[in-house]
Amino acid sequence: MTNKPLRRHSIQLKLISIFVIVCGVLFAVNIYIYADLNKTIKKIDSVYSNNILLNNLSDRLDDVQNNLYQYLKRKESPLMEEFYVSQTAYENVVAELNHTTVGDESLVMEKNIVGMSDTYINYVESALRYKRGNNVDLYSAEYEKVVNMYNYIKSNVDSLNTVVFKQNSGDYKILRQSLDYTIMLSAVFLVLTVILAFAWVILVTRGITKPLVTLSKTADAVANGDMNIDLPIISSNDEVGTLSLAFNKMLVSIRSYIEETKENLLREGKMKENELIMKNDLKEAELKYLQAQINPHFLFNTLNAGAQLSMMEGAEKTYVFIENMADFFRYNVRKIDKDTTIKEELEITDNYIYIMNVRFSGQFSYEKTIDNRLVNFSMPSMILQPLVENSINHGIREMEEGGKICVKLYSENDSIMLVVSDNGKGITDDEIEKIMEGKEQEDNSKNSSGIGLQNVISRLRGYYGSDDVFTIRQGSVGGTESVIKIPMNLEK
Amino acid sequence: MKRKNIFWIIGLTVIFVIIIFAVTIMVSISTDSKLNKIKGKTEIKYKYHVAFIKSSGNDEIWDAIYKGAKANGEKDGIYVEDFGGELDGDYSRVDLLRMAIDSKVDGIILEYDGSSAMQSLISEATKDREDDIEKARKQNIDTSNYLQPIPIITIMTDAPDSGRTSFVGPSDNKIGEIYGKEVVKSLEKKKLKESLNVDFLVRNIDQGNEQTSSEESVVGVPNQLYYGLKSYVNSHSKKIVIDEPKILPSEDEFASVSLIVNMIENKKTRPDAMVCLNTFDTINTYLTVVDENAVGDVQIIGYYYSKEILDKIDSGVIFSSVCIDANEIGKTSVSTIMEAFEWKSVSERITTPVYVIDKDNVQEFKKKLLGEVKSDDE
Repeated sequence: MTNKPLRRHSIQLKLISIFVIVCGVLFAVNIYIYADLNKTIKKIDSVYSNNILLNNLSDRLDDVQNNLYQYLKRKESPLMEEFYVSQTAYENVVAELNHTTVGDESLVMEKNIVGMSDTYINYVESALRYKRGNNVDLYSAEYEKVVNMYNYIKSNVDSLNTVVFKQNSGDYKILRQSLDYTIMLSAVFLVLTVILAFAWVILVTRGITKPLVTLSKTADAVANGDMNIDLPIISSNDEVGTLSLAFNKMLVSIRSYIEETKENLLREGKMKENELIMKNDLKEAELKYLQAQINPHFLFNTLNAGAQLSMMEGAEKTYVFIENMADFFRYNVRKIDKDTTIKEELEITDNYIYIMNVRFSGQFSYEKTIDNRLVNFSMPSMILQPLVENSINHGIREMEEGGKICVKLYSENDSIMLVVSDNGKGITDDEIEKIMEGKEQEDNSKNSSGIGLQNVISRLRGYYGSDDVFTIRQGSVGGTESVIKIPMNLEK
Repeated sequence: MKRKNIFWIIGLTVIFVIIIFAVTIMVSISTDSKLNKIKGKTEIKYKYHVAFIKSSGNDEIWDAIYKGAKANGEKDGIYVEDFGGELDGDYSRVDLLRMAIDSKVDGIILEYDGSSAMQSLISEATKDREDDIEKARKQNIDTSNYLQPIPIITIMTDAPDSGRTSFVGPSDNKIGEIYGKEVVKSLEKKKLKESLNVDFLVRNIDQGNEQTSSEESVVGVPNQLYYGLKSYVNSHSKKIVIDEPKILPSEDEFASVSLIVNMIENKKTRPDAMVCLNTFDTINTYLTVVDENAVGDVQIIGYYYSKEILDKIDSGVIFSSVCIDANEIGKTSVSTIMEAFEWKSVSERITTPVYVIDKDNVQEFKKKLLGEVKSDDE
């Protein structure tokens, strides 16, 4: 894996963002609920705070009164100290009470208690002063005031406590209700949040998995061989998008490769077919040669003997004739699948014409127009002679006299043109068509080499891989013209 | 994921968040508003704190006076406290006055109970201590416990010798005169009879307290009232005889009811008219008159009004009722104490009106009462 930076819309980022958002929302909702509940609970906690304060006040007042009583009774300085401590404690609690006139009954009662406490402390101090001064009458009067005031304050604190408790109970009920509401709402919010988060996760993850599903379906179809399936259109900009884009490209490439391979296979098949035809033709020719091989070998040997005999006898014409025949058969004995040169093809044709003229007592003339620069080009063997033989057999054999065979070798547009023409009876278009399409049935047994025109055409086409290597047509001045067009750039 | 879905989700989330906030804020506000109903008054600050000490008995009248005082105080920045209203235990007006003084309130409104204890307390509270403080300072005595003078307004019953700041209430003499007028009017039809007796029902309200031996009152009844009634009747009719006040025990309701029954059940000795000085006696008297089948035989001159009393005036069982203007007393007492705070000197005595409810104007009062009941409900 490469260390690429996180893509803007990668699946990982999407999943992380879903997780973070869902967690964040749940966390925020929880915090909010917690804060809300905490607020309400704090309010509830503070409801009875002033009752606690008043109870405390009542206790401190009792302390002051008791300590005062103890001190006045026993006049011991540690008790005095205790009294002052309790007085300070009482004054501290009183300081927490309301000191102002406001529109609330209980707060005004608190203010009254503050006032009375102040007066009480004053009375207490006066009583202590008179006690120290041993002023019994004034002390008793002042102490009575203290006791009265103590009772008044106690009564006021108790009554206020009751009033406040009633109010607080009302508040408590309201706050309790509010807490119940808050708890219920919190539960509803939490459930709603979870549902919403769940829906959101489903929607978002479906956005990620849907293209994957589409892609996998397409891949499955492709795996099952359906190359023509529609390309999945996935517009997501994450890895799935990239993957599907790559998949689409791959599919397009595969399709074009398949097309190319198909074409190649077709071409190769055609080539193989050609090769097979060629091989078949060669086999056929070979068979014919093998059949005819006994004859030429025997003839060739016996003809050599005949030539030597005629030499000894001094019969020169016979010697040349036999020599030509021997050469002709020698050429025939050679393997047909070996290439030859145009020169050799022309020589064997010369031999054949000589033999034919001897045989038919010079009945037809033979004319050659040769560009000597081209004679060394190679070509398949046993091509020209059968063509000449064909011209003799089908063109001029039946003529009484004046039969003429022309062989021309020249170059034209990077091609070597080897043309065999006669002045015979000519050829019809039907015959041309039949010959060119290979429909012509021929009896090759009459041919000197056993090789027919069809075999020549077939071998030429197979050899050069082109159909227009051989054409047969009407001659310009009558007769038939066979044209071999050898591409010059092929080989020399 | 489709863009549409994202917007849908975002929209839903935003709505959800808004709902969460709205609902919690609504719950919070509703809770706070409920709590404020109880504690909201703490926001209002007052300039002065006045202790209003109600007298026991005649609750309708004292409630009405307090209501008038409180309403008027609100306007001027005075908090009028129903002093001792929430106190457990039975405290006398003297005790409450003592507490109010020691609570260092700014002013006190109360009815004088006729006792010397209250008189001396009023004197103590209203006394200008400047001279004393000056003296004490010279002798190096701590003056911090010397109380500041507190203005005290007496209402309904005056304590003119106590040094109270002012008195607000009806003139007893005037009330007596009006009672007399009503007695004469009610007995006009009985002119054929040789003599007509009128019983005068009195309630000794503060029985526990030491009574003044002053000539001002006859056991809880201001003499002024009694003599006002008597002199008016005597000057208008020779036949009508006003009996000595019949004192009803205030603590024993059954005893007072049986006393009234005793007065009426004997056809021969029953009075021709009965004068009642509070609503409770008015109601007991009319109930007894109805029970004893003495409607028309015994004319009832009642005191103040309630729905029941108004109904009976309308049906003729009660001849008429003498009313003080309670609301006006409350209002005036507060405005007088305000003057005392601001100007130091106020009029010594402020007389409030007295009126009569009889068959002619009872409908008007019924409507008014109905309005009051409605406004109380609100």
